[in-house]
Amino acid sequence: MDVSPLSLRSGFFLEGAQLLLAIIGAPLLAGWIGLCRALLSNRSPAGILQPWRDLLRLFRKETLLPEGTSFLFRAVPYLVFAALASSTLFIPFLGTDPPLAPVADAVVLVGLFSLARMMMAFGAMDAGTPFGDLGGRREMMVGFLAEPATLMILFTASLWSHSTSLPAIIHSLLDASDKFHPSLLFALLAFILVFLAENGRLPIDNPATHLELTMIHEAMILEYSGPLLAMMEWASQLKLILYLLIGADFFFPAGLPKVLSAGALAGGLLLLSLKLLVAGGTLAVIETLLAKLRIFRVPEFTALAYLLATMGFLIHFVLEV
Amino acid sequence: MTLLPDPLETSLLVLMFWGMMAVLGFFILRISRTFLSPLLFLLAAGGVTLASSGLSGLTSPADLHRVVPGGLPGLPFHFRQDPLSSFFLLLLGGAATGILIFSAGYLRSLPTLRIPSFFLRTALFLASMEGVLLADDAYLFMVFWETMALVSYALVVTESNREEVRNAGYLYLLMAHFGSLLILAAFFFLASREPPGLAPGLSAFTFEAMGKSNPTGGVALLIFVCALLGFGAKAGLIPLHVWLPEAHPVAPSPASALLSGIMLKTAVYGLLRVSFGLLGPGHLNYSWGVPVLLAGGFMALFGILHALLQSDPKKLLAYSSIENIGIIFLGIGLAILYIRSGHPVAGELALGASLYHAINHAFFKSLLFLGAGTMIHASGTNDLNTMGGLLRRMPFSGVLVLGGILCISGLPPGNGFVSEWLLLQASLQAGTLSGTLLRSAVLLGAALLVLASALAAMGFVKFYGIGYLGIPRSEGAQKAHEVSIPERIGMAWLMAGCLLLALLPVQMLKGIDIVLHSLTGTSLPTATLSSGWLWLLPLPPQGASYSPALLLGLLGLLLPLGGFLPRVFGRSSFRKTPVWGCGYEIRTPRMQDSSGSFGQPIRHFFANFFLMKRHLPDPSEKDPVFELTVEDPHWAFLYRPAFRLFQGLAALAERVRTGRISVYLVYSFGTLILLLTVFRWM
Repeated sequence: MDVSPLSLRSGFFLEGAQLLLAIIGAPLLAGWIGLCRALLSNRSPAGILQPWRDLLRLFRKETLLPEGTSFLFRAVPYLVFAALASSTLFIPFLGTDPPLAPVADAVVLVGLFSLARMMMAFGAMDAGTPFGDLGGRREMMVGFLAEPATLMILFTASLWSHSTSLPAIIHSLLDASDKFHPSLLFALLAFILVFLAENGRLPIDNPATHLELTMIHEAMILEYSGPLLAMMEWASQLKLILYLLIGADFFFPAGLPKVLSAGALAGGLLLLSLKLLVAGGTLAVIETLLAKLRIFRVPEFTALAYLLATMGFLIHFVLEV
Repeated sequence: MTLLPDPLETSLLVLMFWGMMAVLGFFILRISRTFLSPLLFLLAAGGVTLASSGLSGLTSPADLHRVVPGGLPGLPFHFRQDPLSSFFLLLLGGAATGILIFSAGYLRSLPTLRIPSFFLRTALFLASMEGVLLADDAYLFMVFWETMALVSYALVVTESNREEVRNAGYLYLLMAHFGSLLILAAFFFLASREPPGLAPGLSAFTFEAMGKSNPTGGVALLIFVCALLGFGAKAGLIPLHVWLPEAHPVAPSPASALLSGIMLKTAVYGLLRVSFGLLGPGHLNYSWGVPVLLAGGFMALFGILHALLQSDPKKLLAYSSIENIGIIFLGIGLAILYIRSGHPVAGELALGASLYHAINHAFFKSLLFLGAGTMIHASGTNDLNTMGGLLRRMPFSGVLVLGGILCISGLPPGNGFVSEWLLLQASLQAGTLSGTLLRSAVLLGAALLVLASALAAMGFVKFYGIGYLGIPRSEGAQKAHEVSIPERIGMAWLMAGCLLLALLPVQMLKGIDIVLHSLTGTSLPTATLSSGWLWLLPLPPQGASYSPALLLGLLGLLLPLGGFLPRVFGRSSFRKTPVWGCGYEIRTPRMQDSSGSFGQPIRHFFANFFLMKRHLPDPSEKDPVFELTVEDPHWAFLYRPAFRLFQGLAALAERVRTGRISVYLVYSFGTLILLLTVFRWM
């Protein structure tokens, strides 16, 4: 297996930059979304740096461990963070071919997200409280509904390259970027739905609420405090940016640098930030316009996503081959 | 000529050794139970030897035959170890070793168990499973197959003083014989055509002669259906699965592990042997792959949905076995479809993924059944609702079970992920197929696989979250303590097997490729096998790649990064506090999810898969109780009507028996006249 034509040094540089940018940028993106939401609902925003301030504040705090928890409770935030942080190495977003991308294809990425989800559910259930169990159960429920849809979207995007490898998908999409792909349009719609469900956004879950009966993500991390809570929050911000990066790769790959020069990198990064800002703003608009769904309506929502993705898949065979 | 025995000789020695140990051990243990551990370790040594014999059969494509005198006149015992047998011998030896070591510690903690007879049954069970894998004629195969069925029945009814155990055992025996009849029929059809160049007679029943028979399309289909249903009855093919979730859980845990982890795979072996070995891929039709594939996908979904609703951890695992066998069948169906429609590479990949999943399942399912045994032993009941908080009390075995959970849920970098990933890669080649129906079938199979795998994650979060996490729900769970050293070694052995399978997929695929080559004559792409141990590249050159070892390494590198951050940013001190209870001070274990409540969303969304009887209490009731029973719909719609039909027929037949001698004399007279007439005209 050749590890791409990049030299080892620039490869290391690219991967290191991807990791750092993603984990530093994730709270900033969350701050941007919060800022947009505040403006849209006529509140004065806390600023784009607010999530970072929260994280630093939490890191300085003492950790309160609930009685009766096992060591798994303490290990979970780090495991979740590691699973998501490693994904930043495999998703191409600075260049089309990060040298570690062959380690994991799209299916492995979904598996890593699933691993993080399962670990989070374990952490929630370890506290032995009704909220933890409720959160864990609901999270797994949303997960089993959204995961097949996610995979169908990835499969649709992989139809041109006949491969689930991310760089291969991106190259095939970049090469055919002048064509209109109706199947991708369906996949994009499905992706938006899955993105909302997987990241605990409205209308599936409200990240801002602590209302007992409706929360999913917040219920899971209710017993976490201090640095452990910071890791959990950071990890979920990371997951959000990772999803947006995958979405940008599949549906708006234009401008992703194929060669690794300073100018191309800077241009690509600028364009990428622009894409993320637009995506974050759109998310804020969606969240402002929608109300939360009843929990038992969630399957209809994700089933729609699944159906759209499958239609995209079939349309490829009908219209595009 | 070397002095070392060849793999087949080694395997036959192990077979004899296990058979002899069964009898010897029985008598030794009747004198004293103190020899139990050494005897089990000896059996385990046999397992290691067998695994090494299987491994050496996979490194060099040897096809060894041996004829041993005995058997029927004109049909001596034929033994053969080809790569397919070697693969399943490796599976049997590897998984059995861990289970036997575990038993050395576990059986001591069961004071009521009749140790000598249990030992006898276990050893005979192992020997008969090995015999099934080595037999090379129909007679010997059926002898071992039936021995296996009978001995496993005896293992199932070990605790025969409980009625449910006896019922489960009876049901199992019934289904096992139904399956055997169909298998016998498949062999009969295979042997019914006189092979050219062979003397007529019983020699037509050797597998070699059967392999040369050239059945026409219709007969081939009949043979395939008989084999699919016959072996399917053993493997838990829906709707012949109802015995499985009843019989596997009631046996003692090591026996459940043997049944679910290994015996189900002998059925997979049998199906592959008959369809690819005796019929030969040339006689299969690509369209047969579609029903097998869809049946497999449905099994996977049905199995895991029912697993999610169980509160007996062993029953949950038994249903999950149906799911995993479904995945294996899905791969076999996919392989038939691809290979016979001219896409050998994707077909080989699907079949290889199937075999890979078989050996994966043997290891993690055995591990989890043993884990369930320790859970049940710790809490004193087989109800998840009495467990909880076991991880704190049993950290070593708890972590091993967690590893097994991650593997069976198909998450990277576990071994279950490798086989499911390969299967998905094979499914994604659907675009090369011609015909929308075929493509849709393959994609539907892939969708079912993905859904089942995501549901499996939820099911095992339930298994582990309620069993091992939280706070104890009973006094037994409160007082649980870590298991004995042999139990830990046995479980660690199985976990090590999972890890090897997870991290060295290419090595394993090299062995599987030899099996595939011997079955179908084609191989996996050479680039797949020569890409080095680090990289898994199933469909070179442009196909996807995966590197489990590097992934694990990266996860390991990033873990300390997370642990390092609190020290950089601030403090890392800990303090124990009570949990937040919404302002209430009382906290009872019953506030946690029960196993029923965790599965509730599943019951809600997939209501069609279950037969539910709900009783919502009326406000006027004096003693209001909410009751809910969930049942497998196959009982109500298939089995109970069938039983009633048989009972009705039996009642009709009973009318003949009046008890009056004059009527019986008329029967005899009538029969005599009838026979005389028949023979007069013949």
